[in-house]
Amino acid sequence: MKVIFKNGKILNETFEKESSSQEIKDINMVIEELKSKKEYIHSLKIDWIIEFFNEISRYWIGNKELETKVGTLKHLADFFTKENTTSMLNFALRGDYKILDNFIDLNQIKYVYHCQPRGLVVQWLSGNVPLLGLYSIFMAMLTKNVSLIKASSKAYKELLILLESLNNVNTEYIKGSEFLETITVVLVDNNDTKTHNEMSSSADVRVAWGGHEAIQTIINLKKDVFCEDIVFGPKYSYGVIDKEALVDYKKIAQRLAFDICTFDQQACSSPHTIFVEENNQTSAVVFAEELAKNIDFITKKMLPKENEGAQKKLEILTQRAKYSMMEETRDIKDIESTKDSKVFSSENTDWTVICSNEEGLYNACFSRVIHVKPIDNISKLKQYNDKKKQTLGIALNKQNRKEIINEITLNGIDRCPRFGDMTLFESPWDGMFPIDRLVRWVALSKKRD
Amino acid sequence: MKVDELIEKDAYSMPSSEKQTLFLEAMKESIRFHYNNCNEFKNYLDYLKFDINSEYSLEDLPYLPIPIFKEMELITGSKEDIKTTINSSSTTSNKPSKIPLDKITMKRQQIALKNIMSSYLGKERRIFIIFDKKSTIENRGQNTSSRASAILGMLPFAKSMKFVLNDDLEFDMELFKEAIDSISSSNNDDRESGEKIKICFFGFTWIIYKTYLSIRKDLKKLEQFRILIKELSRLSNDKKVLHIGGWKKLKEIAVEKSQFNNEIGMITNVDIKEIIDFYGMTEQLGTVYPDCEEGYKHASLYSEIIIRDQNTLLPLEVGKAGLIQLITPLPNSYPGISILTEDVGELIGIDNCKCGRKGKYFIFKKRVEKAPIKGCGDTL
Repeated sequence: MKVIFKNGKILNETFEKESSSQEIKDINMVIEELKSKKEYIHSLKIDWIIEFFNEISRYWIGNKELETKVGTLKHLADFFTKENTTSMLNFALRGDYKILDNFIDLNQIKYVYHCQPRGLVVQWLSGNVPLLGLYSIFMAMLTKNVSLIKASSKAYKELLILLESLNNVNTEYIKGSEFLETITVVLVDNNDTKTHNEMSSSADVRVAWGGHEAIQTIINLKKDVFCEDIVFGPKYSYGVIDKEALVDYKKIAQRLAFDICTFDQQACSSPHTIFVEENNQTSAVVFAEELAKNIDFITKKMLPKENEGAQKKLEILTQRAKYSMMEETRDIKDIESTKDSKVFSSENTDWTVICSNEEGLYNACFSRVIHVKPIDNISKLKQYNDKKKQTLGIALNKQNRKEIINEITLNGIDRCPRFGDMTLFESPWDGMFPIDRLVRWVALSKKRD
Repeated sequence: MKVDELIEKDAYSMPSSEKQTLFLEAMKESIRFHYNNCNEFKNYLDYLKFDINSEYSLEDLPYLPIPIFKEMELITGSKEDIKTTINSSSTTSNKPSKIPLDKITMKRQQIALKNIMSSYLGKERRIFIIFDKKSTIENRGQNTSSRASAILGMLPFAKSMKFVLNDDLEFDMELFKEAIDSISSSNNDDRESGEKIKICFFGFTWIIYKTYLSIRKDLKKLEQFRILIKELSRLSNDKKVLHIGGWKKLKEIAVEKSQFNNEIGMITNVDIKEIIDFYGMTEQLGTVYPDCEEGYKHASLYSEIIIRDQNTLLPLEVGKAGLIQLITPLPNSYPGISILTEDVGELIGIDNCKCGRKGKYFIFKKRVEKAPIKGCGDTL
């Protein structure tokens, strides 16, 4: 077990030669140190914290040096502006974010209310989308909690660089370096069940980002009976376009291509299947071809793909082979559009768009492989939705779109953003307000006359 | 067809420069055949924009990723001609590969296998002591498991076959003793005819090792086994161990090839140099790649190997490790003539192995690792 970030300093030799990571045997010392910062963070006014994050946002926006190291920061920066933070807190905390400082009258008859931090938030971050973890880290800070973060051993560099950058931000009331003392980042071997259990059982809130296996492991760790769990993932997302919206298919393809390329489809909100309600002008295959052009453009000019490894390459090649082989063997009399079905792909394994009329959702291959399928009735999507389905990207122009969404999201789907916004983190997420789970509500009787 | 001419020739005596033209011609003929007789294969080549009438080299040949045989049952020609379907052991996924074989393919595979294996086992038939259960090759119906297929493939080299595992795939000392007794009595007959007894222990790598572990942990059993091996060694001083099926299950329990060879060599009283690991796959039966005396695997005249870079998938030169692509014109009933495997290998040289066999020679390094899901996204 290693401590790689503490008191605002990166302690890993792999990219900081002057300092070295701290090999430790007992995580409890780290936990106790963090707990000792609870009083400090509790003493901060929420307006000071909001102001601090607003300054971070400003510092990050257009910071080319930082973006070269960690990639685009736009959404992260936008998310933590004063305006967005205030709005998000108000929305999650029944209308008044100052409830984090004081008892507030929420127009209830008997009580006034105040939100206390839960205490120690232990966060397990996932591998390929390390920056997503910053949302939950900052949310914990906004709600005045201290955080012990278990980073992924394969992807933590960007996370630490961004955390360290907080040292450069100072506001009237908060000094970045001091605020960072409320966070410690560690690397713990997956087999070190003892340490994972110690971290888990000391948590007041457990935050887990990751795929099925990772989440299952974390959920099964020992925990305090009063501990709250916030689970991000493992989820599946997809999209739908109705025939009315399809008129504007080129713009939709542009926006959707971003959703597919961002995070190489590793995020829980990344789409894997797109259902297209065809109209007289545009078939699913025409849309697929347009989508392919846009993914190709983004891959070449904006978001190059990370190397996926040999096994994934074989999986991609297999998908391409399978669907290209099926092209003519399908009964083209069944559905008019079928005769157009096709595989569009890059020469290498960078991206693949498969248009087929197979029923149902496509089992995610990740790595910029997307299935486009015609659908004759959008209500059919209801049968695919369960608790595992998270985001349904939409381009719906039907008059009764709210009724349709209401019908199909009965058993699953937590958000229906327009294409282009699918992977943008927001609150609520995964059907919950994370902020609400990071606080403990205290009720105080109003003074009686 | 040209492939039938090819398999009539010796497996390892033709130098690469000479092989190149012959082999490519056979492959071109094979490509055309499958293109014209397998709709799926035609669609695939059309998708790849591969013109079967263009001038191309072996490196330009399109390849099928090997998992496609788990996804689809690909048949060239008529389904009525299929005599049996081989199912792979499906160790890496729950889905087996399904390989349909017609009479022509089976015949070619038998000839190729015979020519290849006789270079390693000699021309004389051996008594095969098989680490498997007899029922593996019985009651097969239309489907044949890869284990049954491997055992049956050894028939042309076998004087007789003695199965030493029971139906629970556990070592049966009685069966082993019966095998030795029967060899002993046949020895008396052979002595009269002047024929020497040659033995071959045969089985899947993981089954042989599992059997070894079960014998080793039981001291009484171990002692009995040793006595019988001693008797066998008295009867024959020409013994080999031939094993197949890959290392995946042994890697899981951290057993490397050298350890396997040492332990199996010791318990069977077989010289390590006579332990032959042969590489091959259900998707291309017949063209197998046994270890030569120098420890390398050779591509025979009937197949070719290309090592491809794991990132770019471009062909690599001698000395660099990458994905193994296997090419053969043997299949007639399915289009598995050029496949990209999930295995990593390294080309060691061409035509100059000290063992004297010509052609490309290589080593198998490992299976490619499964890519874990790294983000918060998941499959269905």
